[in-house]
Amino acid sequence: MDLNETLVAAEGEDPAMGLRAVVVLRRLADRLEEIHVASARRQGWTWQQIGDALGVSRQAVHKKSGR
Amino acid sequence: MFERFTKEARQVVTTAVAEARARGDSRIGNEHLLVALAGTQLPFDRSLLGPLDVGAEGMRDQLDRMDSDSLAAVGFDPDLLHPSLRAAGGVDRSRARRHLAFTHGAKGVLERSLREAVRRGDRHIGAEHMLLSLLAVPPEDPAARVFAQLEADLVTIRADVEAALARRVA
Repeated sequence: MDLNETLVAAEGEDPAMGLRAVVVLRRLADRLEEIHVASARRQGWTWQQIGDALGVSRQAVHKKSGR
Repeated sequence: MFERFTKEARQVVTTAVAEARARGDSRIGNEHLLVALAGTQLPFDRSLLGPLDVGAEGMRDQLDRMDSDSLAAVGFDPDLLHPSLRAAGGVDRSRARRHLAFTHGAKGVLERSLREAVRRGDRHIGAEHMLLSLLAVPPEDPAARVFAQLEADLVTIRADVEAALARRVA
């Protein structure tokens, strides 16, 4: 079973749990983003470079990460 | 509404906000109120709460379990939630300053706690009214999920708490 099949297989069982999983994964992604944006900054990456790597604008990543 | 809250009830709200922030959640929900209530003094013997008497740390474990179970439910490895990623641990959370709103469900619980107080003829809204209100959340609420995980008999708990509160007044 590939990943997409796995994800779809769980559909419809319990919306509350499916939606919760989305929140949990988003939270995980946010945390991962914080860690790696900070790491990139420490290594001298510009906001522009980080934004490009994340697929968002320089302003978006700057705003989200604080300074 | 908050002006009628007792010191304990205010503390529950404040703690729930901190709990939501610490977990990295974007809103304050009933699961955060549950953790806060678990660490708050109540005007009756906590053992009346039966399986819900697990303390704040025990409640946090229940939220972690719910999160892990939700990942498993959509086919992910539940161990993806490594403890080091679960808590805010060590990461500078600059967004922690951001204002967090209550979920619709949590607003409902706060409003219903006022009605619980009125129904009981109490002049102030205390942690006990918030608890009674939380016991009545709809099944899709995260708090209801935690009650189910703990196999709590909500009808009995409610009756026991109501009886203890009635004895206190009498």
